[in-house]
Amino acid sequence: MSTGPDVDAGNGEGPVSGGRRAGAERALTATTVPPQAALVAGVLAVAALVVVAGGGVAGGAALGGVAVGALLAGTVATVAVDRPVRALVAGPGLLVAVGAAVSGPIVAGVLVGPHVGWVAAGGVLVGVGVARFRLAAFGAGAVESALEWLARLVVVVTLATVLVGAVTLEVDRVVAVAGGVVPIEPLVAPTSAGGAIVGFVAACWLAYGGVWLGAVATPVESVLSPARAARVDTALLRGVTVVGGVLGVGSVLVAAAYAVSVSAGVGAPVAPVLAGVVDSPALRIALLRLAAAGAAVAAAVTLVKAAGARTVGTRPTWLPSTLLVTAVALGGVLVVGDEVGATLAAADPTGWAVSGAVSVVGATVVGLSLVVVGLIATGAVLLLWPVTAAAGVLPPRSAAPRLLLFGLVLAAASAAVADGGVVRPLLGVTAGVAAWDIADHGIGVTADVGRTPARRDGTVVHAGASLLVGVGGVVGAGLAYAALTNAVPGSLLTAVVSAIAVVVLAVLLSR
Amino acid sequence: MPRWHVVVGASLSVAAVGVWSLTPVLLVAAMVPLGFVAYGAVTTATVIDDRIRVTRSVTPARTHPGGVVGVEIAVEHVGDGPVPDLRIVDGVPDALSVVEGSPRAALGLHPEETATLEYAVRARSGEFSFSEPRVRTTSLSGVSTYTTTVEADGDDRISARFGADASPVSDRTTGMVGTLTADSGGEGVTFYGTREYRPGDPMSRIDWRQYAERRELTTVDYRQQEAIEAVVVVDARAAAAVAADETAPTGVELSAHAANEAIDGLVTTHNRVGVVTLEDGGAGDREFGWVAPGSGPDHRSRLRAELNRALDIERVTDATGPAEGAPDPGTESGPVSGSGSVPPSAGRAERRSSAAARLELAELVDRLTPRAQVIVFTPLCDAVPADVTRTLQAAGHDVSVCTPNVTTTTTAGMTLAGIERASRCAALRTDGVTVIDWEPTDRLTVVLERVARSMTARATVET
Repeated sequence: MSTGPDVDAGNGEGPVSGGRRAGAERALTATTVPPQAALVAGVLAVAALVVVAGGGVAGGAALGGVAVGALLAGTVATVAVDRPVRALVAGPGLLVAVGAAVSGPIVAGVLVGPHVGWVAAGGVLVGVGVARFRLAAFGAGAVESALEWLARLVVVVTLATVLVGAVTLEVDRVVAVAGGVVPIEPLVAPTSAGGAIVGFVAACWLAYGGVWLGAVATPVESVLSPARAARVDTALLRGVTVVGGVLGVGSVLVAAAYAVSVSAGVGAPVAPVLAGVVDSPALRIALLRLAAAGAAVAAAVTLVKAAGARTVGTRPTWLPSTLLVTAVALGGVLVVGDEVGATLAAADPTGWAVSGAVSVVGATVVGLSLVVVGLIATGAVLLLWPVTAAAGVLPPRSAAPRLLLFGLVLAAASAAVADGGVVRPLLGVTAGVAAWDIADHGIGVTADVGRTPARRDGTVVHAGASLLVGVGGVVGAGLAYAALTNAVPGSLLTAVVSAIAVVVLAVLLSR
Repeated sequence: MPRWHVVVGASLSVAAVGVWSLTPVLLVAAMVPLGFVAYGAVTTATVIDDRIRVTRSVTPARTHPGGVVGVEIAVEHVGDGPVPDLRIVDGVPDALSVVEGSPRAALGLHPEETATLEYAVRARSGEFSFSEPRVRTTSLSGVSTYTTTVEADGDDRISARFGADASPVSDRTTGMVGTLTADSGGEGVTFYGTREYRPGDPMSRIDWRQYAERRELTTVDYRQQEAIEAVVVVDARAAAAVAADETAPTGVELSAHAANEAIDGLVTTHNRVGVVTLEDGGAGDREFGWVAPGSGPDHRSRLRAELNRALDIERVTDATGPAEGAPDPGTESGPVSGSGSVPPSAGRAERRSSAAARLELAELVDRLTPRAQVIVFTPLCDAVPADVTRTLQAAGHDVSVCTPNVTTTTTAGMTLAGIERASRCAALRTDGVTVIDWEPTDRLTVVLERVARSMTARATVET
């Protein structure tokens, strides 16, 4: 023995052996549970959850919660995988999983009963924990990667919202609202012939400015080869010149002809046509939309350029999945936007906010804005993970076993409060502790000997011992409960004695 | 007992809910987790200092650099009572990488039971000692642990040198064997072509069938088996003693390994082979080691000895620390140097391409015969090997460069080193030098076949 032995009272943080290679491997995989321990702890936890739920609808809710939790963990771990198809599936899957994990228990609690809702929530926790047993990606910052993906998705959907808003903007309403501050009403609704001419020319030049901005901002050189970029650049330049000729010079000529026809009375045959063009509110609104769209495109491209061209191509691939989600959101809003808008307007406590926003920017933009809010809320839910990790509630190393413990304790407490008898609460708490013990011990084994050791015999022995202790605990606690309730009818003595015992034991054993 | 804090917390939480909701069963249930805590408190880890015996066997204990060595660890329980959870990690030398199996295991042992674990490491040049295996036992509850090291009986070191008994050539074919035949007709065994009879041609080579048909005397030529004279240059300077990571072989090791294989192939096909080792010259030291071209078993031993000496130079450099003017250790200046303790000495190497170094190069050029073909094995970590190559090429020799890539893209410094190396490769190719890039994923046999093809192609051009 070259070095002195040491006996640890704890679980032995740190590896058995040094070595830089082994250390590097353990850094990535030290949070995973060995297969045998994962199987025993997982089966124990899920089976106990179903029993504690009481079967029937509650049992189904528990299993549904487990499935949603597993999906949530799987998608979080996969969204950062640098495989296009996986990222494409995991991105939308992540949104579905977070939505189901949050709304599922709430809906179950409201529709069926609080107990079912709590059991479903416990199922979600158990599902996340069980799936996380074997997902090494969590040790490599998967949650942070998922949050990064969500942030990019929010930016993409926001840009889409702005672009759609530029097209669907109710310009006359905006002018009516903003007209009190800025005198822009004559631009859309002229009250005199002179105002109509000036407004028409101004609208045409604004539209030309929008087209020019959009063309200038288009990153041709960044996305095309030099030869192709030169051709596209030339075509763009030619297009802008044509638009400039039509809108810029043409508008002035039309305005001048209209002015001459009105003031001098010449060209009577074409005067009505010119008046139709110059006075048309629809044409002016279309031109102003074009100006807004060009400005929005320029702003979006400038934003992307400011973030860096490499951001778009950053690995893992994120652009296809975010574009898919954006397209689905846009399609969904277009299909059901009016119904949702009507529902929201009816439920709006102010009575004017939703309807006013819809009248100004349109139901589609309002719907997309709500999608953005929902995505931010999804990010907030995911942020709970690093926050709880930083607070020490779910430390990265032992988060999975703790999730099992918390889920089963939640379900057991709910069952007890909902008058689930004696056995189900006792079984839930005991199974939670046993599953936690087996999985946490397995993580310690992985930390010491890595994820692929030559042999791994010790985990099974420990799991068997934990299960035996658990069985003994259930039997002992059941007998204690029976003895206390039989000694004195009623629950007062039981409660007092048990509370004192818990506090004393906790204080003594925590030393 | 930090591990159980979460259980105590869960117990108190359940009790709190029980009090809040006036549910007695929850207060009883809150005692169950504390039962687990008590279970953990009453179990202790097994002290196993004298209760296990570890025996290590290494096969083969002596091999060539780059060879795979199998290691078997037998863990025997020689005490009383079972050991439910014994975790063991063998003390693999830090410089060696495990290529198969695992030196780690979690075991459950009964008395007199023996568990065996097997793994394999890739040997590097030199002698490496295993450290004592570290062992940890935990109590049945997993709460209490006992950690120690145990002395392993049996083998405790791996040695890798170039030698007749450790050469890999005896059991497999290298890429160089049988490929270096000059493309010209003459005496031999393989048909090459026919030509018009010239007086003096042997009767046995006259094509009598042709004569019977057309009454024309023609002579059959066979492919000539000409021995070539090859000089293998191995870059053994400190600047080449760099590696992609701490367990990867250095550029010097890879160069020497490839050179050894090439030499074996050349010698086997009865070519004359010499060796030059590029070294960091100091005051009074030579700039390069030299074994003149020759053939035969004794000469082969001299060549191996020179390659071993080149590897010894690298180890001495490792032991003496960083060279003067070298960048600080730990900076992202490039690939890992030597065993990880020595940074690249590119600055010194660059300075070696001075007037004095070129004089020594001139001496090398003088020693080479005009027909000598040169193969340079170097990781091209700096400009010196390229300068040497250009000098030899300017002297009229055909030069091939076989360059193992020891750079990676894991850091900015590594990436920059890789770009510089690629630039040197491109510059050499522009100068007409055949450069064979040896990526880590390429098999050495394939790489050496490319080297041999380049030499054969030149032989074709010459004839």
